[in-house]
This record gives sequence, structure tokens and C-alpha cells, in this order.
Amino acid sequence: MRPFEHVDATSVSDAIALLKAEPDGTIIAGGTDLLDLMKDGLASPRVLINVKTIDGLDRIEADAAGHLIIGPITTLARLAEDARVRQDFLLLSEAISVTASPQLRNMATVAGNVCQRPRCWYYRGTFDCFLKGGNSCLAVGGRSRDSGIFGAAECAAVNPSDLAPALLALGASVVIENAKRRREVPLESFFTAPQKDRPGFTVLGRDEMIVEVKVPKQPVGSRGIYLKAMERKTWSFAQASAAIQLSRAEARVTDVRIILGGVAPVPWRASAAEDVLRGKVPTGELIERVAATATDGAHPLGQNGYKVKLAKALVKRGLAMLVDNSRS
Amino acid sequence: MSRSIPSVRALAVRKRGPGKVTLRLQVNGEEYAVLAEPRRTLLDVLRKDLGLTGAKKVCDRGHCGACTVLVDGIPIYSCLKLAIECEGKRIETIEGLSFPDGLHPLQKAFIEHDAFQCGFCTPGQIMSLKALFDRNPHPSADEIRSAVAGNLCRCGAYAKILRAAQAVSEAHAKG
Ligand SMILES: Cc1cc2nc3c(=O)[nH]c(=O)nc-3n(C[C@H](O)[C@H](O)[C@H](O)COP(=O)(O)OP(=O)(O)OC[C@H]3O[C@@H](n4cnc5c(N)ncnc54)[C@H](O)[C@@H]3O)c2cc1C
Ligand code: SF4
Ligand code: FES
Ligand code: FES
Repeated sequence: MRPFEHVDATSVSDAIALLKAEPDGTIIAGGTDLLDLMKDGLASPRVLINVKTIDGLDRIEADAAGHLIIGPITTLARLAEDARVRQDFLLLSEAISVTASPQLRNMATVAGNVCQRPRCWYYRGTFDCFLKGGNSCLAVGGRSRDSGIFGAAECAAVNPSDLAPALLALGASVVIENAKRRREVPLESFFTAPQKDRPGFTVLGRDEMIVEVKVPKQPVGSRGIYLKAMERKTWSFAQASAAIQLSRAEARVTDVRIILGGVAPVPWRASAAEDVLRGKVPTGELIERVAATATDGAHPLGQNGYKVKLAKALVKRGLAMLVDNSRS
Repeated sequence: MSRSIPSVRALAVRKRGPGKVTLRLQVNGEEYAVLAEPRRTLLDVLRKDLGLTGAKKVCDRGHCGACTVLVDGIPIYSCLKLAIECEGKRIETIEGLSFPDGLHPLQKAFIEHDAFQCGFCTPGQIMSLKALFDRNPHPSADEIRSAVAGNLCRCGAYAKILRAAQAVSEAHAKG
């Protein structure tokens, strides 16, 4: 790890000013991804700006409209245990309960989790692939077990976060600040597939900071579920996951969001599948059709065809469980 | 919104490193002053600077749990934690458990139930369990399993670790 200077930020404006003043500066939150990258030389900041010393950034509260406001340094463990979250946004607790390990959930923060870098074996190893300035993506035609089946441009790596699909299924947004302005970005446009001229996985600029995550109030009776397929039962990244939030009136589906994790460079919204379901009565037959539609247009590489089947099965099981539960 | 950019001098004062700086750490109730670079992890400070080798360095990447210690009562991986960010916090390691009043009930139970083979994962397992028992003296088998879900045991002593922890839980239930 390259030596660096360390600063404890005292306020959001202080942290942003530091980011601006230090072109080689990076925010450190839980440090669980950043330090890993730094040990491998994949990140070599000269200044680390600690934002955990800023008062009030770990709040979990409801605003006047009932929207959930989450401070960026809130740890995953605290968010999952919060009584309001368990009551109204259970999907978040479910997604966190299958994220990493207890110790990592005690350290990892909400903002750090949505900003984590991909786990592609070539990226984390000593290979000069596209993402590290090389010419091409080595996973294509190489080791592609963990690669994506959707939405890749130059890089086939997947967004590894479990929290991100859950937040997206709830229609969440992030509030971002830089020295000049504050903007609210829906998570759906926050995540991007890396391109030639823009190799990031998010739209976050290097001098910008996430200052809040906002989760809108859900309709009465709306329910969510998070299902994750892993190589082992715990402490493992998703092979595929499905975050589903479903609202119904009488028997009909009034709204649904289906987000797949572990299958694309961004949390992947299965919009066409949602359309099949919206306004309809979710029969077993219809659920089959929704699940099949969810993986329409998938482009598996050599070794990851299994993800198509997994994603389809997770959507089917998740919807069946949601429909079953809301009947009782 | 107006923002004040700190002056270069003000920044220079607040930045620490990249060379060695004095870190004030409270470990197992004792205050230490350690000279270390900001890049030093808590694990390396404990093991190399303070000679507290109970927390083990195995993967150094959050993949094994052998480096588990408690910071303000919460189990974390000390290999992914900068020591400089632990100033002002209460750090607990396995060494703090058995001194000066003999072994901790969890340590006794691990010995009684033979809950290890090589013992390399044991300090981490026990620290994770200690945090659980501090919060909840009578945890269920499921709660015990979740508490050590972030601690690998290469020797596969899981069943006996569970049994040892359950014995402590049951002893508490009996009062
Ligand atoms: C063994 C292992 C298993 C794991 N398994 C899973 C898993 O199953 N599911 C999963 O979702 N994750 C998993 N993770 C990843 C883990 O969840 C992330 O490392 C963690 O969430 C990152 O959060 P952090 O606070 O530690 O971020 P840091 O490491 O501190 O930061 C990560 C990035 O976010 C940036 N950042 C942090 N806060 C802000 C902010 N407020 N504004 C702007 N930028 C910011 C930092 O600059 C950095 O670039 C695993 C990690 C490990 C090591
Ligand atoms: S998927 Fe991305 S990170 Fe992996 S080899 Fe291809 S370009 Fe590199
Ligand atoms: S040494 Fe820290 S988790 Fe393995
Ligand atoms: S006893 Fe050997 S690793 Fe657990």
C-alpha cells in the first residue's frame, strides 16, 4: 500500500473542500473495499479523507412525507436492525442479512456499498484488462463464470452490491454534493456501464460526495423480497439475485419493480417483465411468463449461462412467495 | 450555498502522515502511544507494535475472520481497519479476556468442548461470541451461528464451537 496522508473531515463542506483541494484525495468510509484495492495497488490515493468523523451522517430518519433518509456513513448492520426499516422497508434488511459477513456489515457503509468496485477476477488480479487501461475485456472468451449476462459495453463485470438492487426496487435516490451544487440522482441513473471515455460504474465525480440516500415511502400493503443465489450459504457475492417490490389493490398488481443483481454492470431492471405483470392478477401461469421475460435478451458468455436459469428461477420464486404471503 | 476552501496551511496542519505519527490507542483498558504511519492497519499495530499476537493475520482481506477484534464492543476485521481511525475508541482483543481473573467462560467452554484443532481461528471466534454474549447472555443456537458466520475454521470445528457457546448460554439461563 502506498503511503498517504490522512484527514478527519469535520463537516460535509469540509470533506468536499478537501476533495477539491486534493486531486489525489479519496473518501474513506468503512474502508472494506478501498483498503483492499489499495493493498493491491488498484487505488493509490495520496490523501484519505475520513468522513466517519462527520456528525449526523449516520442518521436514519423519516422526513415529513414519510420518506426514509439514510446518512451515507450508516453501517449496513445498523440499517438492517433499524425498527422503521424492518417495519416499512423490509427488503433492505433482507438484502443486508445476506451481504458479506457480520463483521463486514458492522464496518461497511451504505454509500461505500453502492460505490464498491467490481470483483472480476482479472480486475482484482494482475491483468491489464480494459478496466485497468488495457485494450480488451479478458473475461470475454476467458474466465466468465462470474461475469454479467446483460448490458455490458466494454466490461462484462457485474455490480457486486446486494443493497443496490434492493434500493432500486424501492425507487431510491442518492443526494450528491460537490463544491458548487447539490443534486438528487435516482439510483437508476446513478449506476452506469463503463465505456471507453467514461470507465466508472457510477456517475459520481471524483470531487463529489454522497450525502444522503433517500427511499420513498411505499404504498400501503406494498411488500418486498430479496433472494440471492450464492456458491455457499454465507459471506459470498451473488451469482444472481432478485429484489422485488410488489404493490397490489384487490387481486391486481398496481405496481412492481424487479431488479436483478449480479448479472450486469448495473443493478439490472427487468422492465419488460414488470410490464407483463402490471395491472394483472398474478396467477401461476402469469408468473412463469414474467420470469421468462425477465431474462429475455440475455447474452451469456462461455461460462455463465447458468445465471440465466438462476435469475429466472429467483424471479419466479420471489413473485410466488410475495403473492402467497399477501393472501394470508 | 457558499463553501469555504480551507487554506493550504490549515490543511497541512490537519493532515497526518504520510510518515509516522503518534497514535493514542486504548487496548484492553490500557492506553498506548504508538508511532505508526496512517497506512498501518489496526491488525499490524496490535501484532507488530504492541506484541498482541492473539488476533491472527491470515488473509489480510476480510475473507477469514482470524483478525476479529472488538471496537467499542462491535466485532470488526482489524485487517481492513486503519489504526489511525481507532483513536478514542475502546479496542478489545483476546488478550484482554483472560487477564487478570483467569479464563473467560467462553475460553473455558472452548477447552472443555474441544472447540478447536489448530486454534488459529479461535481468538476470532471467541471475540465474535464475546460481543454476542455481552449483548445477549442467553443466545439461541441460530443467534450463535449467525454471530460466527464471519469466522472461518479451516479445521472444521464448527459443531464443537456451537456446542461450547451453547453450553455458556445454557449456564446463563440456569443463572
Ligand atoms: C470478503 C468480502 C465479501 C463481500 N461480500 C459482499 C456481498 O455479499 N454483498 C455486497 O453487497 N458486498 C459485499 N462485499 C463488499 C462490501 O459490502 C463493500 O466493501 C462495502 O460495502 C464498502 O463499503 P465501505 O463503507 O467499506 O466503503 P469504502 O471501502 O470505504 O469505500 C468504497 C468506495 O466508496 C467511496 N465512498 C464511500 N463513501 C462515499 C461517499 N459518502 N461519497 C462518495 N464516495 C464514497 C470511497 O471513496 C471508495 O471509492 C464484500 C466484501 C468482502 C471483503
Ligand atoms: S469484465 Fe471488466 S474487469 Fe473483468 S476483465 Fe473484462 S474489462 Fe476487466
Ligand atoms: S486476516 Fe482479516 S479477515 Fe482474514
Ligand atoms: S481450529 Fe484450526 S482453523 Fe479453526
